[in-house]
Amino acid sequence: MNIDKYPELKPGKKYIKRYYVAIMLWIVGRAIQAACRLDKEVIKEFSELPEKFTFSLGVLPDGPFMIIGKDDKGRAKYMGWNKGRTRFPLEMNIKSLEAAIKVFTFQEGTATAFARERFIVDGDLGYALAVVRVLNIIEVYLLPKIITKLAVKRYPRWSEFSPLRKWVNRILIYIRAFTF
Amino acid sequence: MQKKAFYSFFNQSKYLAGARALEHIPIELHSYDAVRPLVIATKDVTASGLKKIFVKAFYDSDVTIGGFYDNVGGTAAISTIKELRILFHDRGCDSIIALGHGPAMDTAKGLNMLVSLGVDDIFTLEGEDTISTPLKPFFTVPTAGSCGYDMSNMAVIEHHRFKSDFLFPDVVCLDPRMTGINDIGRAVESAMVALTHAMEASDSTMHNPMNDAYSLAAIQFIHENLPRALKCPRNREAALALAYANALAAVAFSNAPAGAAHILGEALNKLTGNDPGVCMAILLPHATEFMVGKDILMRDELLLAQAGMDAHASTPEKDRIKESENQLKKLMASAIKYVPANLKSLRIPPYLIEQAAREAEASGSHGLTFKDYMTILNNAGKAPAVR
Repeated sequence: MNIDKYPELKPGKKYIKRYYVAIMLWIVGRAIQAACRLDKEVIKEFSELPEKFTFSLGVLPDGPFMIIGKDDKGRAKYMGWNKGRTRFPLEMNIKSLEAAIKVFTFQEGTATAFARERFIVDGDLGYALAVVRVLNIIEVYLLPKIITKLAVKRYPRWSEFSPLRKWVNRILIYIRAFTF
Repeated sequence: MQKKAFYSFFNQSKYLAGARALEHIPIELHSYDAVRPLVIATKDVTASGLKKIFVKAFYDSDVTIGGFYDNVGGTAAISTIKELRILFHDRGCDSIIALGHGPAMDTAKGLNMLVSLGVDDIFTLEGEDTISTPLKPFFTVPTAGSCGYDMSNMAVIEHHRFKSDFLFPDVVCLDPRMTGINDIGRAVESAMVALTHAMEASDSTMHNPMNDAYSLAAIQFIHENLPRALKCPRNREAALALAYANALAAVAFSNAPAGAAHILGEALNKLTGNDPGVCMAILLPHATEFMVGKDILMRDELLLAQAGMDAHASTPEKDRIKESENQLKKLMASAIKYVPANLKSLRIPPYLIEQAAREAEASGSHGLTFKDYMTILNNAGKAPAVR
């Protein structure tokens, strides 16, 4: 057998999908930072997390990642996409880029992706659930209802999430996320 | 449900199934500390474009495929396995992935025995439970036409049988992109092997609740989805369901003694070269009929799996076994284009039929005599050409 006929195959890269996920994580990260200054539910979720709490959400093995930490005032701060070799108290990783694409193109909701073992959570599960709740709120703000319904387990009713609150905060979050 | 005083059951494999299952392989390899698998595939994998899909699944991972051997022919050969050992060591591989159907799986299992145990002659390991240490990480990615053996604890290399719990694949990946049916004939043959294994495992006097969960589910999947796949071979859902059935039947088969149809089908395959799936499909209704005639345990739960709750409930208890036989015949009749109704159509000379019965008796796994096996073979030979 001529073994050169069967060369080793190094893994290639899916650049477009990778950039798409990176952009989505950047937008979500910035939106969490903005929402933590505007939305009382997000503020409450973050206030219940420990001091200096930091978490990462990203794609295995090499990212992209989204790193969010609590600043001195207890508010969320987007800390970039490059995780390096740093370990965080809570790491939520999606097992593959294709799984991440399913989540970020809203073909699979966050809860469904968890149920289908697309995620690996390293850290306190209670904190991970708090992060998932924050992500759900952010999705309601960032996306139109028709898409958000695909991403969240249950779209909030008017009584839980008034249209006034939604639209005012949506505009402010978009402005803050893309400006400062 | 019959309660057993004692039984044992073992299944080693983790199953990744459904959409984008292939992309989970790199992370699963990591959990076994493996980053450099050798992939062994059957020839048709490259021709049907599955190689491209498979390789793409490793993009954006840190797993390098040490080599992609896609030249496995119709049977697993020891010469190929020995050559693959050189490729495995040369590339510094640490795990094996088998992609395709039977021969690729058997070749991969043979290679795993060679590289993990360091033996020179693989045939010293022939027989049951001759392996006493775990082997290297072994993943399988079955394609359409992959039958029940592939995911079981058994390997057949040049008609030598190897059976050990360490031969179970560590991970079985069932992805709808890989299980799509290209050759409906082969898909039917593999479904028939799976059906034989599942029916005989659930029928056997050794059945137990754990094995029932696998065998009855496999029977249900095949009865529901084989007619759909026959009607529309491009139906991906039905093709994936048949792959599930094959995986389930493999576990049931690994934990039950071989039945009469399996033993005779294997013997005829060895002696005549006919596909084991075809032989087993012809023999299964006659073996079942023989068992019922002999008053050997046959269970009415079969009908529940075959025809569903309504048919089971509306059939009087005493008629359920007969109805179960009818359901089986009905299924076989739907596949008549791919599976002949009798052994006569295969033009097997009588002396080979006798020899098959003798070999089946010699295997001694099912406690039937030469006369019993001959009765089943004669009934299968005399059956009308149209069911």
